[in-house]
Amino acid sequence: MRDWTTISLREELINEIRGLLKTGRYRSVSEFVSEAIRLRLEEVSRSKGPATLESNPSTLTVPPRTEHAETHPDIVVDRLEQIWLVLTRLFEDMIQKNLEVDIEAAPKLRNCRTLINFIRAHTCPGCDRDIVQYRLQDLQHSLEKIKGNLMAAALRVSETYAKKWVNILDEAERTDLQIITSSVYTFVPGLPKNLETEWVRLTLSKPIAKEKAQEIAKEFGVTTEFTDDSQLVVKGDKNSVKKAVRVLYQLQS
Amino acid sequence: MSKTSGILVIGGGIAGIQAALDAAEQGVTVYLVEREPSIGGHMAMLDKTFPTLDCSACILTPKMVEASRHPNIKLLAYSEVQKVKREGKNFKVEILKKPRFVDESKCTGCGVCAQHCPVEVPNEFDAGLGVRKAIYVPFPQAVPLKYTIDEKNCIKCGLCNRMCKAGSINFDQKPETINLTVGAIIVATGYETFDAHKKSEYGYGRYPNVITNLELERLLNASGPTGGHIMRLSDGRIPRKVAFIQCVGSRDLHVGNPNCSGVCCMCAIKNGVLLKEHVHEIDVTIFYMDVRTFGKGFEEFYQRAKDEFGIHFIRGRVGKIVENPETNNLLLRIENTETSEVIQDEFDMVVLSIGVVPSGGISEISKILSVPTDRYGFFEEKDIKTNPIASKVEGIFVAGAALGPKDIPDSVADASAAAIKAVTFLMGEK
Repeated sequence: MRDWTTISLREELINEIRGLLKTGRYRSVSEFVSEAIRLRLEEVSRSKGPATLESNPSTLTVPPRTEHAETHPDIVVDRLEQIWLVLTRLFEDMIQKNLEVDIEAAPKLRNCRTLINFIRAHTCPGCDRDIVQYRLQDLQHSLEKIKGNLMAAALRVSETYAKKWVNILDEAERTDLQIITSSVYTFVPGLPKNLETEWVRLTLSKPIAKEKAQEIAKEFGVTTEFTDDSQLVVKGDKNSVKKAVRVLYQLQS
Repeated sequence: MSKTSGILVIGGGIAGIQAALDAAEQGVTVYLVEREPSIGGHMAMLDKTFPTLDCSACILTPKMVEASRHPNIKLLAYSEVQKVKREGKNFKVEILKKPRFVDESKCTGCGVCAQHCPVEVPNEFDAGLGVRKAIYVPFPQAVPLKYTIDEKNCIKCGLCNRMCKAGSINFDQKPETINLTVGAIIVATGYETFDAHKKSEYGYGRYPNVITNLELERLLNASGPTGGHIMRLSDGRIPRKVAFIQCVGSRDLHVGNPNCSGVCCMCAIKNGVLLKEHVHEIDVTIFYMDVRTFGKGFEEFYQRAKDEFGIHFIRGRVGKIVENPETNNLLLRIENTETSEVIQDEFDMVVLSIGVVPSGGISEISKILSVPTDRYGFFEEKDIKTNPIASKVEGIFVAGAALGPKDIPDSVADASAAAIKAVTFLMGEK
């Protein structure tokens, strides 16, 4: 069996945690602390660069924070994602303006998104760093090619148009555009997990009256349940659910 | 679209991907057909692999990306094989490419459409535990990263169309038929998990805190519906006491599956260890018939689970699960067959180690290819001992769990063998 140890925390922190226990998510302070430590350890392991202390002891004496951060895959991919996003916007702008665009641009941009997602997922300590580096180079080259093609097309429109996008790209390459790629946890306690039970959760842009929703539910033989003001769950027979959801959605307009 | 040579690989799980990569490396054109919107199969759903606890995605996703970028592999996802006809030494194949209702020449994969879609349904990739939109990619690392409109659930509100600045939404898209001629076929259609509803005594589907091992994999996974937080489905609380029930739908003649699924013991041990790593105070008990740890490093892992992680192993078959309706806790009654002691204990969560059964698509593909299945419903080998990769039909090879329950290394080994067999067969025919 594993050994246990005791740690000391400031009283204010403990009180904050005790406050959280009332929500029911955690049952004890130690449960909360265990999870917090685990998550922090994961975060730390993710932010470790490819070079380890064993392989490069000089990192101990000369903290190459900035340099290291610049070359870390997470940082590089953040930067490349910004460039990808700007190129996507440029592509969309050209499509909207009915300009002539390389037909391979969209699949190439999609491939780059695949590589970005792949590199982002490849951050655990056991991951093969060589593959990540290889795919990072692959991503950089692909983006360069797309950039070249799209900028050539932009130049055909006008120099001013091309310059405008060059400036935006420069900004993306040099500064932090604050693209937040947060994970969205999609689990909702209490929702039916059974794939055979037909249910749809509808997000409403405008609130609708509960009585009206119930009336429609009755009409289609389904049940409705508001999870909050802007979301309701519709359950019942597959076809009826779809029809009811459509009518409920149209109520907003 | 008409081609004159190459290999058709049916199924884009780990076995199909490996077979496609190995064959493509030999210079052969490979058509990799997957019925789902993304390749990856079951392995993409797993958290860690036993006994090394390597991240499943770390092993699989490089192969997925490589398959999508390999010049010799033509990836046909969201497509199904409709007809196969032998013509001389070749096979004429008809493939149905299902409409995604998204113009692939315009979609950049930005995901704005999905952000604005108002319809959410259970995500099959998360075993129904999480939700996805009616326009979706099953998971962020999906390959190919092409958004798909789920026609079954789309209410045609047009919001995605209004939000997509590239104008890639196309509700008029129709199914497309692709005709190919190939010289060999590799079938890697994988497996399905046993439907736990059939064991009604365990209350799966009735009791929210009775889950399957696949559902637990998604809960443990950092990119899963809970971001890797272990919680009960009824109330979102962290479970303190978890039981695993082994051999649910395996080694069970009552449900028509006499086979051992081969992977469930190690899966349960691995998941028990992962639960302990996630929540140290958690108490894990595995109720088993026999612990079968037959692979390299498996037995050591089992011993570590007992000695180092303190996982309890009790031999005995759980007869029934009863839920306490107030707490949603689960009461288990069992006879420890080693001590003859009758135990009754309450758990916060119960994980059913559901068995491996033939994939639903096997019978269909079996008819299309005229390849027979065995009495268990898996594909039948030409010779189980001396030619276990070849099917009964010349030029058609089978790999992975389409032949029977297999773990990842065995499936990969099968796939490489099938690829070499298929390439050799092609060369012999030329």
